[in-house]
Amino acid sequence: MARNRVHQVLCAAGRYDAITTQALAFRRRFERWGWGGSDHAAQIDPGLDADIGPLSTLSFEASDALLIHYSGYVPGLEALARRAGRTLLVYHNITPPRWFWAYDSGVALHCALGREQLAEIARAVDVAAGVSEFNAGELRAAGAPAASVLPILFDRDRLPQPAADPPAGPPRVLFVGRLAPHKRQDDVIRAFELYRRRHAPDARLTLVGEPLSPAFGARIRDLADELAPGAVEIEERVDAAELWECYRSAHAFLCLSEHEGFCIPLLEAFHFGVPVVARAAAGIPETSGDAALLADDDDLAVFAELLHVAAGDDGLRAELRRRGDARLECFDAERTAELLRAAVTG
Amino acid sequence: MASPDPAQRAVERARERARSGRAEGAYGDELGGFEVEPIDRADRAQLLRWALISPDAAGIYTTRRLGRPIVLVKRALLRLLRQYHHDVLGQQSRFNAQVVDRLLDLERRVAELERRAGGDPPA
Repeated sequence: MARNRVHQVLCAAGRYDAITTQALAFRRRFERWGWGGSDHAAQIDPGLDADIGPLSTLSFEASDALLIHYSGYVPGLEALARRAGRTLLVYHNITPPRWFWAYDSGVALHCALGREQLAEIARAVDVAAGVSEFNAGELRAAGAPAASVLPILFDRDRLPQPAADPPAGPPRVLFVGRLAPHKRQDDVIRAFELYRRRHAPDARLTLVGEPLSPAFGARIRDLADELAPGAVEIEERVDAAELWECYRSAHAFLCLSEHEGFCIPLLEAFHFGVPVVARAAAGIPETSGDAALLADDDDLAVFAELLHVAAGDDGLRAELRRRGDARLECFDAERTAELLRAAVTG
Repeated sequence: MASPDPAQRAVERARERARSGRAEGAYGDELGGFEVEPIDRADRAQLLRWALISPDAAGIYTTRRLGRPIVLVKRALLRLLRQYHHDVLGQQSRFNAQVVDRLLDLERRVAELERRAGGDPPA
């Protein structure tokens, strides 16, 4: 039997990028199954240390499979999708451009064009899947009526063991995600500051994530300095060990994103037993299930009160930890890997 | 009736505490500063501001550990080509501003025609 060859195409590849991490996890599986192929991206972060080549170097034979991780506009991608023998689309979602027009017009344009291109690609592929039902729903609306769900391949075994007990010291609140408008780090800082003033003057907030742009990063830093001087740390670039340490030392994870197709950091927080307080928006309720404290309130004081409960109520913390573990069972890596295998081989 | 689910109960309790806290004067501080504002459709003033393009040199940055010298070279090139870029940006901004002006004028005229015809403007 001929050896399977699967080539992956990413819209962008970066060091601290969830989609890149996902593509690399897929590649490890492919190698384990004895499959060949190569990985390519339309845009590559110069600092990326991974075997991902430029899209212009992609070449494949008619019998090869092409797996597109779609997250933004790439010129000519729909034509590429039509050329491959078997093409799979894994849709990671595209943030609505409304979040970017005021802060990065280039990104906004890519998002706007990407949502248009999605319909073309969805019609050109053999298999279309979203990493969540939320994303699959968008795919169906875009023209892929049979779109299914191929969950994130979340390999818990690659993460260090969580600590048995809650961390010592003053309350530490954490959010992990690119500093970007739709992630609403401005709201995170405000909710944290309300919590600090009302309940925990010695609390600390850690934001982990690369900024959308230096200008946007500066705005978030300025806001933190203005509202909570000295209480907010912004870590733009952390390696895996440093990131895991952030989770281990956190008393609560606060996610106030207005748009997420999946939100992998929620699963990481569940793994480390960190109680999650989150805005019930977009794909977040689906990913978190019943394992997070979800609210859709406009009043940030509600989230401040939820932080107080999450960081201070041991009984609730234990219950959320149990639910987080149960939630992670739904994202069992072996089950996802089998779905992936079936999708590729047809 | 309170929810039997402990997570849902915690959310209800947080709402109640936020309400009572506000009633007692807590949470009264105004937290100003930068706030993200999504834009569904730019208004006229925003369109006019965007017509005048003015790239920020802070957009030249590095994500590599040893990228600093490259950034310095790029910034030096920008300085050397400042006169040329000034002309290019001026030409593009002039075109943008004229197009926006025509567009706004068309909007005004369409609105006036709709008013005269007595019909409702389209949503």
